[in-house]
Amino acid sequence: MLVVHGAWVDGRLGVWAEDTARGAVPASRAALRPHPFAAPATTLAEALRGSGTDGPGSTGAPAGPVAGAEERELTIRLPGSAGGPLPSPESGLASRARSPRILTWRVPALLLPPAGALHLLGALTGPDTDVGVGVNAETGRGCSWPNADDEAYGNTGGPEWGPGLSLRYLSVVAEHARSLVRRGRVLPGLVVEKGVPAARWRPVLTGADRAALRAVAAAMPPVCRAVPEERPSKEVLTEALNGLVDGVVRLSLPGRLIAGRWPGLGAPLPDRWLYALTGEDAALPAGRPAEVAALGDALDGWSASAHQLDGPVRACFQLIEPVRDGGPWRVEFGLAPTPGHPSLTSVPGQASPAPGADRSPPAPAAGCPSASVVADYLPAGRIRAGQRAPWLPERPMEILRTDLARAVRLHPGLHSALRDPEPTGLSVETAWAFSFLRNGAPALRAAGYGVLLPAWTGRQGLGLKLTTRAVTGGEDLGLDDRVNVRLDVVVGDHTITPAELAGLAGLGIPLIQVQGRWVELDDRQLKAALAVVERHGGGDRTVGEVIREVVEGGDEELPLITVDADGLLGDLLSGEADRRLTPVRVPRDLRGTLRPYQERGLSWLSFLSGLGLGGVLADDMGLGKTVSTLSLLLSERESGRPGPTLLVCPMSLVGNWQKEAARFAPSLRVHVHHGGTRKRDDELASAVRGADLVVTTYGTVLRDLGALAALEWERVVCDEAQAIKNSATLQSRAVRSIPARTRLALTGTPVENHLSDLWSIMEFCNPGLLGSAVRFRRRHQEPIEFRRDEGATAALRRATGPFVLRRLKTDRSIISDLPEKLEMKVWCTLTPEQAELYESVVNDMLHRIDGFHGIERRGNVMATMTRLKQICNHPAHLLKDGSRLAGRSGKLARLEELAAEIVEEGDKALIFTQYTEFGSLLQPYLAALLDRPVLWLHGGLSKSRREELVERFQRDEEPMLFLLSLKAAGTGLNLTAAGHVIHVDRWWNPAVEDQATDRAFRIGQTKNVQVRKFICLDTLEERIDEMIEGKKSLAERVVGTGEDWIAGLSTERLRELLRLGPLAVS
Amino acid sequence: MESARTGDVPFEERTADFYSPGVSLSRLRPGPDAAAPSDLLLRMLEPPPVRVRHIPLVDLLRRPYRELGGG
Repeated sequence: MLVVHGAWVDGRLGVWAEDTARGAVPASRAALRPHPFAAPATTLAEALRGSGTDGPGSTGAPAGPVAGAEERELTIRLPGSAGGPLPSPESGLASRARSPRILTWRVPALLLPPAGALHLLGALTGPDTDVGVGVNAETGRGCSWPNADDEAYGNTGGPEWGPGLSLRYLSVVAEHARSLVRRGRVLPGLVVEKGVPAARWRPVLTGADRAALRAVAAAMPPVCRAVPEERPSKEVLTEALNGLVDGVVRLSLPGRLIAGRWPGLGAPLPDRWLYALTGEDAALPAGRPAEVAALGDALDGWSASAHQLDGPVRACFQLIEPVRDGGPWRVEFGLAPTPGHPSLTSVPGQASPAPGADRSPPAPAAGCPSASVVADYLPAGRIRAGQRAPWLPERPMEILRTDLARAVRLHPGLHSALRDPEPTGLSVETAWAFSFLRNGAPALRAAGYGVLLPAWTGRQGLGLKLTTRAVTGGEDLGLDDRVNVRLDVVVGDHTITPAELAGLAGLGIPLIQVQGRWVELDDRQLKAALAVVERHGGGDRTVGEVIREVVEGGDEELPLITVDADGLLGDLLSGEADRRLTPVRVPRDLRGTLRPYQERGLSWLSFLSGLGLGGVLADDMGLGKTVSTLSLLLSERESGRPGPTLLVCPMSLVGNWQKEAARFAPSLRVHVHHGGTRKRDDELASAVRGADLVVTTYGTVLRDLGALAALEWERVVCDEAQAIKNSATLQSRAVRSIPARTRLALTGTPVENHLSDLWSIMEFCNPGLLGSAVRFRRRHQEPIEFRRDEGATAALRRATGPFVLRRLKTDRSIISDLPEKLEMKVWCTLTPEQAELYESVVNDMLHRIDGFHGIERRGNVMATMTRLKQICNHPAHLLKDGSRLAGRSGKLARLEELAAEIVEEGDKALIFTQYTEFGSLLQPYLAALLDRPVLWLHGGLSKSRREELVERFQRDEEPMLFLLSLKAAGTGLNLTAAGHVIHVDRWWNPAVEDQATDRAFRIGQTKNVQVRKFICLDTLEERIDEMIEGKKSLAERVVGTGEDWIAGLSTERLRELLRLGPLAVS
Repeated sequence: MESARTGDVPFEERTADFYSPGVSLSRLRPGPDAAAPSDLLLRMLEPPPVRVRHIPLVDLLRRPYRELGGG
């Protein structure tokens, strides 16, 4: 497999690759040595040519990223020794040099022009990319490495490849380039390239963008700046960003900027320059020097003026309410330090905001704006009176006036202030104030000015209040039952009568005072309010209609801001239904105990299901979503014979569901519909009719959609429902298209990246209830994600609250329900490749074992045990061939999911393995997959290095994952920062495992610790686990010494212990 | 010397993590785009004294800038 690395070389993306199949062979002794395991450029081109993705940003790119690429040999500085360079961690190759030094190597490379570079880098964007990148059909997660189903990375006929972290780093740079271009933070310029003038688009980096790119430069992997020698990261980043920004604009603007004939060499330079800003050829040969100088000066001055807005001090505008009734509004000017400016980075509390974030100072807290909440804000009046601050420049009033003159371009109403040579503010009419609120303030804020508005701005407006009252006692509730409904127009908690409303309309001004509070009120809102009052009034409505009305949240101009409902409907709409509903009895057939919060969850699930409504059970991982779901199935079978439930889950969880159902709900009839031998046609229909729970996978649903959709289902459940977070994917559409009376989504992360994830999951649960994706984006997603709009957030909470139950393990009430240490077994299945290897090793051993005796027999049995455990971990662990990891191991798939969920929750985990070689494979793989550092502590590290890792894990926010060798780290260490412990493989010695677990679960631990032990179903792992669990005393007697006792078993017992059962393979 | 001037850690001190970024890549990604018109920069700057076929440059660029923002 190829591990592809990237650097920016001569205005192009230079890619080169390590070929893991070539391995770390000895290097030549030549003075400038070829990299001994770098892939030939032709092989690399062949691999990348196969990745003809339609990744983000690839719009308009020619077919494949290597179109127009140049083959070139690069010199690169890499750490290593005379024996060869150190391999990258992603390669999985063993490192040889003990004291590496920096040496120069030659590598074959491809130089991709910007279009190809953007195409390639766009396909690598983020772990959340769903388009074109390796998205695992079973998990829905993006993969950074190829797996069996990937077309993005090399399973299209060419050699397999995966991106090194350097290439992924450059993909982040490309994301910034795209973001800058989308926001218009670019300007065209005239540059000189190899002595020839050229038209190029350049980024304008100010404020938050400047700070973000500074962080990007600081984090650059050294390998990115090692061609042809050690270079400054800032210089490399500038070149890369310039090239990518220019490329993005050219791809975004394929047409000409002006109509008419193509200007020849004799045409005026500005004419030729404009044409050269689009298309592929940016060069402007034969330009007359005077013309080049004049155009260059004009454009440079333009660019400089854009950067002048980015000084250490910025102008601020503060809108102040009238102090007396009928008095004027006032806009006060002032100065404040620019947040995140490099000259101010030492000032406490002035953290750099995220790129694209609102750079304005926080809004004042109370009704009257107060400058005190903005650090160091100084009104112009006080500056003019002589007040000074350490950050204030000389001649501050000149700076203010210059900034004000620029601001006039965005809000012309400010122009009159310029009549004053030292302006401090303006007294304005109410209509002016409204115009400033609606138009001026957002534009000024977006341009980087400080804007202070009254606290009520954007929050306080006309809205609707929905009141419902149950017609009957309300013991039972159905969607078709009727309730009394009343709609009122309100401001805050004040109800406005129709007469008052008519009076307000008569005033004809857009800012009014209601009960002493200012309210923004434009014509559209007034008309909507009048229409609503006329249209609705009171009356009866069905429960279903009321729910829909609440979810819709009123009109855009007139949002629903308050709901007052009684009875069961009130319980549901309160968003606290689990606490308010009458508890459902714990089912008799449940083999286990539900914790109090699980009982409340069962009541909520039963209530929604009874109404025929879908829900999202979004409890934190480890809180028991599986047992809650099984309890629901048992509970409804106590009062009737409902149809079967279809449960769709990632392949890695099929075994777990089987095992958990057998453990907690043995009375449920479970059928697994998965794998090559699954039932079809009539046999499938018959099996489903005879089942309570049918477990299948997302992949199988896609393949068997017709057959599954034709059957009758009581319920469809999606486990790890983030797999359907992208509503447009085939698997999302497939599960949505299966008819069922009700639906349930299980996920610990209902919103992984964007709010659209939640829309997609809700669309599965309650189709159509949240409205179209477009409406959801406009109504909720954009206001919340872009502006952090509190009103939109409250509206979304109100709309989804009844259907989403989410409890965090950090909730006070949950903590008290949970044990301090929660131990769980995680049941994993083998992939067909693992199963084949497993059977082969078992058969080989059993075939030969009778011929061995004594030490020889013992040695053979133990060696077989080790091999089988390695296979259960991963085929590459046994084969040691440097082959790819993704998609070949059930355990690894489960580990990927768990690690991603833990990181998503912001928690930390210890991951134990007894095999150093497996840890060495996992560490770079997980780091690349999750885009996060992963620590790896093993016996090969010095004491000081181990202490350093432990301290880093305990002290820093990252890394969140710590891989540890069971032998090297099983005792002595204090790792209480972790809330999760995962034993990927088993030592079969409870004492040893407990000691390792106690690295996290010990004095100083303040969280509940979740401990997971991975076990491969129907393999030796499960059987040994059963023996330990079932015969504790025997286990204590024989297992105390580890695994040696197994070697003493008879051949027949061995056969039984090691055999591969039918449940083992996924 | 160069590294000291630029703030970069010299290669010799980065051999253990030569291929890795200093922090998680997810921390380096740009946030969601702020809600601002994509031609804001054109609006807020004094136009350059550049004309193409007698048309002010900024007038020619306004529509393309809106296209960049997807508008």
